[in-house]
Amino acid sequence: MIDRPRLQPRRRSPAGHALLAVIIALGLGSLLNARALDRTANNLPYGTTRSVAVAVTEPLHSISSFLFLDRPRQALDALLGRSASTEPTVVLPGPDPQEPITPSTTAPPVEDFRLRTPTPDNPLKVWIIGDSLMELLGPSIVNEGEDSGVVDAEVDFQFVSGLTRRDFFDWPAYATEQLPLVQPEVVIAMFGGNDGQNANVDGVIVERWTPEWIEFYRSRVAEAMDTFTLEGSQLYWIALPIMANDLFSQHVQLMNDVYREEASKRPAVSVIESWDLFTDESGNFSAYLTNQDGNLELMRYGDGVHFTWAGARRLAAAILERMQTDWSAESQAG
Amino acid sequence: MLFPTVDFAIFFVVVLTANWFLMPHQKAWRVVMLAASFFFYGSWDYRFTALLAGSILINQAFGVAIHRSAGRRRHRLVSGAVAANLGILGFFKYYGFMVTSVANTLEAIGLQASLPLLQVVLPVGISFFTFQALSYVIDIYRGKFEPVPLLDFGVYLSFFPQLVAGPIVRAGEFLPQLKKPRDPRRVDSSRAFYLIAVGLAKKVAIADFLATQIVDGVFTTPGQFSSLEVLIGIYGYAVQIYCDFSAYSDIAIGVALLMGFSFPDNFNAPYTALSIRDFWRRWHMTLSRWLRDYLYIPLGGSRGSRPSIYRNLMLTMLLGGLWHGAAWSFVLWGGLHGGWLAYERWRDERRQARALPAPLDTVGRRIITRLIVFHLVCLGWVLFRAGSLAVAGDVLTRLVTGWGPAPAVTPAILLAILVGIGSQYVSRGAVVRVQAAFSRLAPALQGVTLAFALAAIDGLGQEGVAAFIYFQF
Repeated sequence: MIDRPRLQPRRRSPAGHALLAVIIALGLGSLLNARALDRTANNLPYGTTRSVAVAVTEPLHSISSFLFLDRPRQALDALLGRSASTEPTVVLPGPDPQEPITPSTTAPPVEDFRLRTPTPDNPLKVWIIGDSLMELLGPSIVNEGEDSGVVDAEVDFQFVSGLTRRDFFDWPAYATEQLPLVQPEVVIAMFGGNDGQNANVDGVIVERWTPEWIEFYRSRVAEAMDTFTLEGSQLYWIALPIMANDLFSQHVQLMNDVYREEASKRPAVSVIESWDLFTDESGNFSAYLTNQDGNLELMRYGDGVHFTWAGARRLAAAILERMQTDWSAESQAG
Repeated sequence: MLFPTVDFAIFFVVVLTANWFLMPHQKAWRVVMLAASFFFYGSWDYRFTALLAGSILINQAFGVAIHRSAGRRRHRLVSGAVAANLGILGFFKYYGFMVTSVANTLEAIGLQASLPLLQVVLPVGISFFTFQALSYVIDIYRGKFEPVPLLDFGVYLSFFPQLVAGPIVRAGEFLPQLKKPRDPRRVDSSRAFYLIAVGLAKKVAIADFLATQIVDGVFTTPGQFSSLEVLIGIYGYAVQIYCDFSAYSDIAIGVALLMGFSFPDNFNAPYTALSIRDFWRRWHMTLSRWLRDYLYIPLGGSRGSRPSIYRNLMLTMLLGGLWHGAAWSFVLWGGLHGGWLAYERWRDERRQARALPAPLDTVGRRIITRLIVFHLVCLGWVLFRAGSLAVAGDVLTRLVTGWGPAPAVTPAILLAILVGIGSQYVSRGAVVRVQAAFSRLAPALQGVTLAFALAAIDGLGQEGVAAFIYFQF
């Protein structure tokens, strides 16, 4: 008979020891991860919570660096092929993320984009970008476009991103990198879901929705539109839909006005409206709407902002219909 | 408040400290734990706390009334309790589905009705705490125990570690632990730390990675992926949902252990299962046991005629599918499992009836059986993840028609899938040895080891933490 070695049982420990281990783990863990914590704190919306968080994480980051406790994490990042410059915050040389308010009113550099008739052999190359509103809308455009056989689209959305907080995700910089690689003929963009937050302009916090903020936002939208059309792409900018919250809807109208005004200055940019697609007969927000088959469907999630699959398909159909009109042989002949 | 966040870490240190300092003062302990749990739950949406409080009060009232009554009144009361709980759950989970179905049916037959189109927000964890509350009132009805004081029941139903996504801890498993203070001299901290660290690693480094790298793409735009990519996407989802859901359970069990409570296991290497019956003994074990004890057995269970047994199996699994949400894909998912369970039962009974010998238990047979069971489970996951039959059809069609290269399949994705499945073949003995060795370290050394583990897990993960999959149920 073989005697199997007996497994040694686990030792139970006093609660104080467990608590001590937890506190050491979280304390030392914070120092080892101080840079990531500091980045997370800085990414919070401007306000008291962010100020408190940054006041804690910045010294933590300094102590971590002083004690070389950030080195293990740096080594791991290097092993994984990451570096500070490849963190999600994309920073390219050039415009300062916190540049002064200088709204762009210049015409776009490219005006000679030419519409053609896409074919299955030579489908229309489409790049779909935006924030979390694109999570289901983007795939819906891709799927509906695939059914048409003449659209080759890819989605590149980023959660929690937008145009206000370039320190979190710099869309113009990212697009400048990606456009030569993707080479889209059409860019479909939808932003604004996360843009309604205070902005940092030259170290001064600009309160959201104030006239100063609107001008700041206008400059961001203008720069985004110019960047997205830099490679000669036609840009379809999707205006925001009505929201369940009345106040948010009012703010959305302010942002939509900015999109329309800036698009009107640029021949390569068209705004596609989405507001009326999500209202009932009285023009009010309705989460449930009748789809094209005549069936009642839930179009928006419980937050009153994001699209369900049905809502995303509804808007995707409107976008593709507009594109079909613009890119059809008839329209070009006309 | 998600587990893998700084917010929760701060919350937990405060609550853990209060937990042990207040242990000698049981009344104060209960009040503080109740408040902490409500704070935790209210961090999602403060309005949800009213629902939780309502559930506590209603079920306690039913529990006391059932205990004090007898005969038909007792039966009527427990029926009322079940109806109230399922009514509330049904309103929040199925209202939208029901109202649109009714409206569309009426429309189809030429009738127009103005139905109240409320947009009902699903409170997180409602399915879990409703099932826990049902276990309380039904077990009182069955005479398994007497009602406990309201404060105790409130602590049980709202206890934050398992409140949002399980495991489903029954009243009979939790309430006896409340009777006397937990022993501060004997905390099973090494197992707790192991579960928390492994849970965080599974969630942050594997589940979220697979979701963003391949799974989400395959299930939203299947037409953009080749057959091989779709196949890897399906395997990826099998690993993602295991690593995501079991991670929550692991962390919940670990957190509870640090507070002196013992919760039942919820997973036991499910992808090593040799049959679908075996799978359900290893996957979401607390739901399986709940469905068995509160649904399958009351339906008649394995007693009665063969057709009635198959019907009970199928009904239990169909309702188990519906528990996840109002969608035909969930019903079909439950039907697939229920049908296969019935088939396995029929096959075994036929073998017994014919006095046939059991098949030889060889390594090769085990490998083939595991592969078959795993792929059946994966087929179910396609229905589960797709959200609609149309999308599931698109994914499965693409699986067999999209021949071509697979540039989206990277070595990192394959490694994550291999680690997710391979980890289930690590022996229990090895795990126990690691925990035992860890338990012999000094507390400071334990803390340092955990700190490096946390840093590594955070480093391996991506920016931000996605919500756990089972929050939506």
